[in-house]
Amino acid sequence: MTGRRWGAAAAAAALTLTPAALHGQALRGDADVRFQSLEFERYGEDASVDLVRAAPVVATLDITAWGFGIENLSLHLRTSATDDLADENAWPVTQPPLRLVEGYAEYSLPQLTVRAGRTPLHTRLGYETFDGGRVDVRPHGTPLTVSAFGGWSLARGSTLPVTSPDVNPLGEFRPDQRGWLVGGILGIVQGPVRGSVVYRREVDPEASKLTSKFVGASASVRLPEGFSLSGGADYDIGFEEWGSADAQLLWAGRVAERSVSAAAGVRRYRPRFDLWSIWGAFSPVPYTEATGRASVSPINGLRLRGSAARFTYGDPETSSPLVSFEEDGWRWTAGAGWAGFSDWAFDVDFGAEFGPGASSTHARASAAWRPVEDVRAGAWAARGTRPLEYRIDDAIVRSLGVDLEVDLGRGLRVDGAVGYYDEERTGGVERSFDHWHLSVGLRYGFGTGADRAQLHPAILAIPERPDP
Amino acid sequence: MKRSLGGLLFAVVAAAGATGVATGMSRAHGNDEAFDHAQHAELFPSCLACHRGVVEARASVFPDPAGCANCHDGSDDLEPVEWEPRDGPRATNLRFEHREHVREVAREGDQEPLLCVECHAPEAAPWMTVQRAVVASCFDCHNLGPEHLAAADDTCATCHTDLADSPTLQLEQVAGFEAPPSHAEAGFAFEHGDVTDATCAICHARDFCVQCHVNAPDVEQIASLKPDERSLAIAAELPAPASHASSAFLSNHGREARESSETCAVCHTASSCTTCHVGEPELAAFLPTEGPGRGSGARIDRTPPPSHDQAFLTAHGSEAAARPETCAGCHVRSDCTECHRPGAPTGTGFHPADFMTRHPAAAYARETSCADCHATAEFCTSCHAEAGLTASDILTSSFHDGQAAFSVGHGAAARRDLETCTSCHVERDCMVCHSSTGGRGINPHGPDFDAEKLRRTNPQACTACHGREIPGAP
Repeated sequence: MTGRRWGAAAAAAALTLTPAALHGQALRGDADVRFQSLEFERYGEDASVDLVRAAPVVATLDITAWGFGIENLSLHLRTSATDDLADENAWPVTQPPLRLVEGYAEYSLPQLTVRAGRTPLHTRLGYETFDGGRVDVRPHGTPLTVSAFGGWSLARGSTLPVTSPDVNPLGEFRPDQRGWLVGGILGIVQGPVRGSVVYRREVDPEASKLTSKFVGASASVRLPEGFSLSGGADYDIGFEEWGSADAQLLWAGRVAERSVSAAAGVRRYRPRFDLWSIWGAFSPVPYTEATGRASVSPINGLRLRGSAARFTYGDPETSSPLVSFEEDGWRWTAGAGWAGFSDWAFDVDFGAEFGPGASSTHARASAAWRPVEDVRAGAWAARGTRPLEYRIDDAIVRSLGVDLEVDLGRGLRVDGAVGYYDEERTGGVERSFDHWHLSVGLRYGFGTGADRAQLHPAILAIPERPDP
Repeated sequence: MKRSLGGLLFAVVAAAGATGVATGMSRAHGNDEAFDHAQHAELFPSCLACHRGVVEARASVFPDPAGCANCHDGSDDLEPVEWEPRDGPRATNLRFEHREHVREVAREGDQEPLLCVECHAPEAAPWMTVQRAVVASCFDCHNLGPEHLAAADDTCATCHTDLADSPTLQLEQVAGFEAPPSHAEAGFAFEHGDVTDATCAICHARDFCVQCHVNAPDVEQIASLKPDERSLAIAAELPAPASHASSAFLSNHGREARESSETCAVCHTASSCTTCHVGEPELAAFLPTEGPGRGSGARIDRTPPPSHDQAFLTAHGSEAAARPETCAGCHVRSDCTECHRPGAPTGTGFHPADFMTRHPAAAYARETSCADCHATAEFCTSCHAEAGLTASDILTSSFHDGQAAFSVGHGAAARRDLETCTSCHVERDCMVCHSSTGGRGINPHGPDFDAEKLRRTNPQACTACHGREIPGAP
């Protein structure tokens, strides 16, 4: 075992054992350890095929602590330790073995919230974390919330800075220093109308040049008769181009005493790239999508659902007489869920999508059995095809599996799943992806209110049930 | 039949006594077989020969088993009888005793004393045709009404004692209480508090009310009742009011709760709110918490609103971003970070178990933004690299073998799905052809590409392909 491996093992053990040491009135947390095992074939060098085995173990620890003698102060920590116990190290996101997802102190008053540390930020522009601080001010008597944030950025979708080699395994061009991130949010809640505007600017401190600059807005209004309208858009100031946007009209209510919901919307999607990357200079085009979905419960316990979408890409303004590619696509899904029996639930789901690059059809059925409150057993089977437009490699994949969850009490929950994937390929390179996939997890909720692992610590203000 | 109060009471006492006798007999036999009075009609000229205790304090209500054995001695086909008379008081909530009733009748003076047969035998029946006294007889004498359970609420106490004052009553007897017709009337569950006559206590005790009433300690009628766990033998049902079935209730119940919080507090504890409003416990501050003396109240199942169907999982983004407060009504941050957290490799349930088999189509069409949770290079590229899907060295059409000339005409595909390209390719793969310094100088920019704007904003990307000779640079 390498030193790095020992470090990962020690970190995983520490994450698992920490709850016992930290158990106390002013602490709530959740620890999760999950092991998976699977094998698959990969292309080796000189077109050979190798059998690869992955055995990742992932431990996560989520802690909220308060009561340090300073009222309204709390600490929040979410961290993970990951290692691939198989020698191939084939599982993604295993390096570095110990990661800090979130870790910040929060001081909150009715009109002010201050956070400092690895701080989460969830806006129209997506979810991200950064190392810095955030201040939220809610002026008394106004419907406004004004926020300002700033610090050092992390790579998009990662817990690591963009300078880390672990987020750049193939050696892409990257800045040498982490970006400086600043921004602000203006939110308003006025009756049925809610909205927010976010401004986000990131600068490369070494070159003193802009890395990215966006402004985004989102709003929603709750209309009479069960309708609501929501939407948003973002603008890439750096590239001076509109980014993604969407609008959706939703209705939920009852028809003939049956629960019904329906939604229709439009969406535009344009990929986002930082200004230090050359990808943005390749002139990616957006696509526009019209969507609709509905669900209805015709009888108690049964819910039917369906959705459809049609999307069209913008003109890439380049073509070749030698090739022709799909320019638009569609997708639909239909499903039904039955929960009319007290112990059983069933669900079936069908879907198909067709578009540039890839298509797929899938059918899936699952059943869940809960004989007692603390035990849930399930089974699922699925079949799918995934023809790819750009290569001769159509695959039919059949998969089935079973899973089990048991609540052992005292905040301890164990779950496991075993699945088998049977892949049948036609054309292209003969390569098997048949494999078993094993997953075992152990979850432990601890601290005050440990039996309510998902609850906010503020709920602890409600007295516990007195002893009978 | 018109009688004085004493006569009526005697009838009732007789009825009660007969009930007790019958009960005692059957229990004494150890089975449900009652004593066959008719078979003994020629032996006993008087009821009091065996049941003297009905009128005499120190006498037994039931005959001495030894008396039975005088005849049932095992001879002449008379087998011995094994039974024991009831020991202790009868299990009943009837208010009267036979002896007391006899005294009441005697005090009346001007009435003929009632005979046992007037309550315990059908009219004009042969001697020793004995039956249990029927309630109708009581009602007839007491002018209480046509039927037992349909009597006025304030008349129950004429014959019955409160449940809490009837210690001999057994649990199964309480469970067998028949509900009056009034209890089946529409709205009774929500209007029974208007009943001011204290008749509930005949069948119920405080424990019964506490099954539903969260506000039990605050309600005078309930607080005045005595506690008695036997009342739990009658299971209370707590139906939802009609208003709760309204389509608008889900969205309006907050306002209604603020306007009539005391009404909510009848059936709901704070946990009713926090079952869904897990992140807003302050909303429940006006409601009591569960505890001794209070019911657990209505049970709330945390069910998602109709809008939260399967597709909502991937379509909630804009609404959540615009109205996080609405989400916060039922969700806490950890609900979001189960999926919305960077570098989540464990698969916590966002994607179905078989998603990997069809993720190419989902990724190409960006049903959801993969990059919100996965760093393309870190997550996609590293996995594709392990699967042997990433490019290396000179690009060929070997992977994109769907069309022989893919490399030549790949531009349109790349501009549509550039993010997907980056899951296997890095910039240098493209620069083999598209760099003006080390490549073949093929221009990758679209017609609307504004080189000056990009150079002005950040020239770093320009230098990757153009080196120091950025077109248009001063």
